[in-house]
Amino acid sequence: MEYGLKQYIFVIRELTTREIKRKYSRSVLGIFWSVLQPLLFMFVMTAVFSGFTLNNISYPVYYLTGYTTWSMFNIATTTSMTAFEDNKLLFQKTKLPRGIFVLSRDYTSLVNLGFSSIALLVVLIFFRVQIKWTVILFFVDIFFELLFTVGISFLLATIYVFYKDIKFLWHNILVLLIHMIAIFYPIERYPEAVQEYTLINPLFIYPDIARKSIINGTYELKQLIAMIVWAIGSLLLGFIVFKLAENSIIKKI
Amino acid sequence: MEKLRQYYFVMQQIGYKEQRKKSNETSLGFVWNLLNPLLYMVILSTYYTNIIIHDIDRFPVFVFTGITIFNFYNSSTKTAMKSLVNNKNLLIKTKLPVEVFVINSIYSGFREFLFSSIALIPICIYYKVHITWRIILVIPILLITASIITSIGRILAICYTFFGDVEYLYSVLMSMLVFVSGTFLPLGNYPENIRYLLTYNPIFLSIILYRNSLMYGIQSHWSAWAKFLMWFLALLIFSRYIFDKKKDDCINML
Repeated sequence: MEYGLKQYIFVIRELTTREIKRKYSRSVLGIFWSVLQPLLFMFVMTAVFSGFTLNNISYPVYYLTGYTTWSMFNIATTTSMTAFEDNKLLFQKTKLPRGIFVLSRDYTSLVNLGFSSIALLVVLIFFRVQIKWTVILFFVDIFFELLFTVGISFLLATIYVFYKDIKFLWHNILVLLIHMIAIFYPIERYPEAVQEYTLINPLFIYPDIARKSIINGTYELKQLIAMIVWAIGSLLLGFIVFKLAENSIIKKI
Repeated sequence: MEKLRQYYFVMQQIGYKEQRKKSNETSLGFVWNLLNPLLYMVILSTYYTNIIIHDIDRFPVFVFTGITIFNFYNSSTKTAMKSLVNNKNLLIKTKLPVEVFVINSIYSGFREFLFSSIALIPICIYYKVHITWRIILVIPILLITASIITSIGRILAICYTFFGDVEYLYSVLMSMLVFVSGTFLPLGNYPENIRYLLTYNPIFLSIILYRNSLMYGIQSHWSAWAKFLMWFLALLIFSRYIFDKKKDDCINML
């Protein structure tokens, strides 16, 4: 039986609903937490780094925009790694296209981003940030970040089936990475040599475009091109690796 | 006395079982233990050079000491928290004292700390850290830290059996605490109003005392010791009390 696009989307939404219900049914705070947590972090970071002036942008706005964008990647990749293992039964017993499990995790993370954006919106309003037309680029940015994330998720999920260590490793990599992408401090404060490497890092590019489009109302063509290139590259890599390994995954699981 | 020996034997067995389980899952985990603080040290030293380093001499050693102590707190308390639920079967079916599992988690956390501190030796030599007699103080500092962690572990373990939420909340708390425990920022870098609160953070106290005796060989302010010991006593008494009271309810819940 051929799965058409409609059924595809339906399954993704069902899986996502199940994920969200499961995730938030256990906790008393529920979805409210998705909004609260980034705010909490923001307060702490601001309190710690508050001596810091950022050429007319208040720290909370700078931090939260970057962090929210980064967070989507973070959550998506971490949760989709175990997507195949978690859905072992469905994987083996149905004819669902296998990629769907990873996609639903990514979609869940996107939904989570939606909730955290509420917090972002509140902060933007509170600090009276002037929104210009470039804010459209923020949505474009998120779209391409999503594509990038999907590619990486497939890559990680495939690796995870064979090499469980990757989960542990990836978690640690993420913890270290967050210091390398100018979330807490603007890139100008990094040493010169390091700035070069940071500029080409996709995980710097996506949050940076978000910041530029929302706060500064500017954009950089070079960055936008990089945004697209990284997304396509990652998608290709992810899909190729996944397709090549698909049969081995079926055998392993 | 006989009982003590038996408990020690059981602890060893559980520790061995857990290590086997851990190393089956992560052949890397062992090496990573050593690698993690080193990587942190390298990355933080590189990226925050302009932001912090000019204030601190021998920043890499500074970071390394902070990170190892923080990891000790972090991983030990998290393992201890889940230790009762994870060992549900053993708890229900045997007459082992409930505490054994919590203590065991701290014990393995401590071993990890010591293991990762091996890297401290070459680092100290490279950065020409002068070791003074005060390094002996590290022993009581670490022991008291271990006790504080054990107390926190007990409290968390009890809470976790009743409220699963605790795991997530604690995880978030720890992620925030990294930044507010003086792990890679000295006291002076924090804004005025935060500084006062910071000096009450037990993690911060452990790190400061540890650094002062190990790295700088200077005397720590008496108030640091006072607060440190206060936490030690308060937590010990409180955790004992809660633990004994709720122990049986816990087992019933499991």
